[in-house]
Amino acid sequence: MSATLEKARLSYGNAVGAEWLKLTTMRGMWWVAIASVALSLVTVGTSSHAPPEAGAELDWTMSTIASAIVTAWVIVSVYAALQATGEWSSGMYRVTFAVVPKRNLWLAAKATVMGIYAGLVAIVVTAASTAIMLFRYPDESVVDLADVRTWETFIGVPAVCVMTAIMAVGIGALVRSSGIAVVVVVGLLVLLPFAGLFGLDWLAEITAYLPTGAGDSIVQSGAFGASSKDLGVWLGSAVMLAWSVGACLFAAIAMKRRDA
Amino acid sequence: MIEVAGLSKTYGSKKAVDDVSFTAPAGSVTGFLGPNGAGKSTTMRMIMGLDRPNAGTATIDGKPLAAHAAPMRVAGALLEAKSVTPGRTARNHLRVIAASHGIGKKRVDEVIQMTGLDTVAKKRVKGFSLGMGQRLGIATAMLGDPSTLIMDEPVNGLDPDGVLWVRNLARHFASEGRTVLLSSHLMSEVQLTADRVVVIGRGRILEQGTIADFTAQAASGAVTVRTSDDAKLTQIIAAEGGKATPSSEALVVDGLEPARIAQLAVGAGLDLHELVKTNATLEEAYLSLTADAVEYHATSQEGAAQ
Repeated sequence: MSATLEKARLSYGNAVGAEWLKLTTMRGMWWVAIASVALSLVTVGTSSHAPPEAGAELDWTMSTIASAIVTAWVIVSVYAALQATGEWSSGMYRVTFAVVPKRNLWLAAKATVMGIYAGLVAIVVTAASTAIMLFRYPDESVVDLADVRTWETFIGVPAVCVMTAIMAVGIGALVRSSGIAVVVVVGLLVLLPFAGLFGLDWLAEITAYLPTGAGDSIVQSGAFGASSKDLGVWLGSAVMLAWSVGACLFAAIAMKRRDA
Repeated sequence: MIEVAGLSKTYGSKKAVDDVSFTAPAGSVTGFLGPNGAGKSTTMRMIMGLDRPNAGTATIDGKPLAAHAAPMRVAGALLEAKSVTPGRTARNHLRVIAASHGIGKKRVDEVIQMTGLDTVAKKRVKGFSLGMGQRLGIATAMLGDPSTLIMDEPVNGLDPDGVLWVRNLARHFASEGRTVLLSSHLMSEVQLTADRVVVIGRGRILEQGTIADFTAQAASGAVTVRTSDDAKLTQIIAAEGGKATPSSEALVVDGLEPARIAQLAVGAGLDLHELVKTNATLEEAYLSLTADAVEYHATSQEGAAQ
């Protein structure tokens, strides 16, 4: 018997390794990453706004960069949900839960891996968008590393993407159906925020607490959604975290009670 | 060793598994038999921790599967072929599963060799035949070199070579002191492979024990006789209190032992061409036991003609 069999153990680290291999042994991962980066770059590269007057360049740059992430954010989040539901649609869950019978461990591993993936895509998109801005407007002071707003974007954008992907994994594990998961994620990220535009105050109040509103409060760019109410960075972060932890918590409870 | 105690599972108002208890001991192959819809797969899913029982427990080596530190070392299961993401290659599928326990590529390649998947290991599972999918499922189950192997209809879709291979694999596993539980609808296959049987019908255990005991129970004790004069022998046997019924150029005798029949025939001056005591096959034993428990009766040919 080989030595690796003697030492074989199920652990969080090993479960993450398995989920990471699941992601990286499929070409879909590259297509999603390439599509996300390409669409974001097209957004930045073709944005026709002229640079504003001196003093306002930084806000302008940061909101352009942040708006470039929105497409990628939706694509990657939907992909994260599909990575979870794919276990059921392919029948793979029968093998997955036979070797990882602790379903919370599987959920934690899947959420970790998709969070890392979403974070990496977001960092690449943000870096590439910034590079394009620097290239297009070499004479403007588009980036100021000493300004806190720069870091709100550079850290906030990947953080929002990570937390949204984790939320999407939770939604996927909760509903198990790819179709329903896509509808819920797209509804939450793209459709519901528009409810705030109907001019009803209480609707606007509610949409501020959607992932879009929370995301905007973190990045302060107005890129993620059309919410009219700012929660502030810290409350925004807490709301965003509540979405990802909440979705995974519901999924964990459901998976513990029901058949795989 | 698999121990199932008082296991029940209800889907809506239907009791799929009803107070099922049995043991599959280490060192032997246990055949799990029952008509379609009898609860075999549901029971296996509950043993593997996929379905939650409404009552009862299922343990492998003393604990539920989830309570073991290395579940892959404890039990491997083939529940349904093609429980695989279709776009992934066979080797990558095995690498993913192995990674969950930190098992390396060396063991993956070993299992690929053992299951004869070498030529297709780098192909996507999407294009696999039923037989290849079944081999990959068995490879997945064997990856952790488990002490218990659970297989639901393992020979489904396999060619004769594959059937023989699964039989030898199961026998070999048991000979090493491991536990094997396999379900099959092929009685002849189970008779060749298993030492013990557990028979389930409509969610309840109908019988369990060694194959020898099980078939002996169902043996009718009938004797097949061919002689030079069937009519005369029929009379003699009737006079002795036996009953002879004609059956394809022979007589089937109930109620008399072969030695007595031979005595009578020779005493009457008849030539004996054949004298055989019929042993019940597993199939006959199974059919007589499950006659009432079959979920979906096919309309018989005679019934259809009327």
